[in-house]
Amino acid sequence: MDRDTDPLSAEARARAAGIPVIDFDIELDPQFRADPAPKWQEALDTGPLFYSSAARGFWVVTRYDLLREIVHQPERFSSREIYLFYREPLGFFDIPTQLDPPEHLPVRRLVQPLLSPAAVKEMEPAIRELTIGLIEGLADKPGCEFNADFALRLPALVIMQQLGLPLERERELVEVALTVAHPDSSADPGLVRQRAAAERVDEMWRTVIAERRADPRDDWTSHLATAEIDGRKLDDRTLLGLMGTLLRGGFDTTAGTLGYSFHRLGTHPEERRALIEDPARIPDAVEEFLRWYGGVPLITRTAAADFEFHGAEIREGDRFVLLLRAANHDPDAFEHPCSFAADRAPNKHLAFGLGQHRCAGMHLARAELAIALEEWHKRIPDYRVGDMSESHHEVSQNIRLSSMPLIFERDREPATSRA
Amino acid sequence: MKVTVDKELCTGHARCAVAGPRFYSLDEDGFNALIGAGQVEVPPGLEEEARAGCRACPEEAIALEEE
Repeated sequence: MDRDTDPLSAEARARAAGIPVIDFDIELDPQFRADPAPKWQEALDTGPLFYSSAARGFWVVTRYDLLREIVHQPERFSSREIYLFYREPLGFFDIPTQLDPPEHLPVRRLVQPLLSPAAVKEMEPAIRELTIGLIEGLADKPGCEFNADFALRLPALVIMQQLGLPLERERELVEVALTVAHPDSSADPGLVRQRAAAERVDEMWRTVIAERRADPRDDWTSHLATAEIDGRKLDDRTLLGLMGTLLRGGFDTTAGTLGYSFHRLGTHPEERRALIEDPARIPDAVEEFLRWYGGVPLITRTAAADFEFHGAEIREGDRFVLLLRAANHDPDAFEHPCSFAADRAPNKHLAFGLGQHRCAGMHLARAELAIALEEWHKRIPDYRVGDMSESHHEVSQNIRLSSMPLIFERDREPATSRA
Repeated sequence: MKVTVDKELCTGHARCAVAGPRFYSLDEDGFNALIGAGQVEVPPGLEEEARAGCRACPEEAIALEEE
């Protein structure tokens, strides 16, 4: 039956409830590539809850309070499918992201101690050393391609170090993992390359996991490959899903936020100067960068039962896209949501999601962002964003700038030396 | 002033300890250390810290009872 006339279709149910139906096409609408900000605003303006007829059809939630309500009801809103706003179902098996209770918590508990505030504190000296090394390698140059030269490298090297992966494979792993995380059906018809990349990552993990089981070391991979839940090791599929999620979640998302943050500072010199003059402002600024430019603009849920939700009749299997980025600009949750306030307090943004699935790596991401901002501006305080005509926004379940040239303005003489 | 932290709602964002560090601390897994302590009396002078931590929690896991 046609989706528009089928009285049982989600679209028909939305219409019957007087809920707006629009074509909000995250997968293919070129506006997302050109500039997603107006699309997030359009979503907020359309309503707290609307239905998108794009792809396989999905409900879209834009408001902070509704989003909270949903994530706190895992029995109604399952996490089982991600990237569900694509036309084709993708073969993701992100762990523990896609697990529901009761399977979720035991796996989550294996990961949480690795990424606790105390664990991250211990990692900080190594992160700082890595950061300084990367920046010093760039400081003498006239500029850089910020993503490839820094934003991707820092979090990728940090997570690879923790996972125990050979650092000489950085370029290769970054490229493959990005292809997995940003399925682009306009450039990759049928997502053939994306699927092949996912298979390559799994293959790499199979080898590394076998090596670590035979000869455990002091790294996350050894820990997780030998960890047990109720006396049993994780099955291969779960373990592959977990390792893939840690690797991708560990760098793509932070890289996205880093890129946008430096774009912001490169185009707003007065904001940059404020952070340079008073680095104590950096932690609060990081939170505002996250509110605006969190590397994960949305999360997804699937209805696990039939029920009513804010006037809409929901059926099992209905897809939901929860726009974190829109909720972070919800006027009921944030004062002057559209102004960038580096000292915003309180700032309860949802860049890391919330509830049981909130980003396990949030403390690591915060540390990397703060350290990068501190150490970069000690060494390269003056820069501007170069020609962005070749760059676009890569929007999937993650968001990043495809490239960003930075031009260093070191030639400017300090005012005092001209006397 | 009294504070109660909801064990079910706290998922370890750790924002309370950043916004009100003189009143809130974290357990070794990064959750609010007051979990399980029931209703806790805020020592005099730390009321603003307690309020700031409560406002910073994205899970709304911290309940305040003003007197």
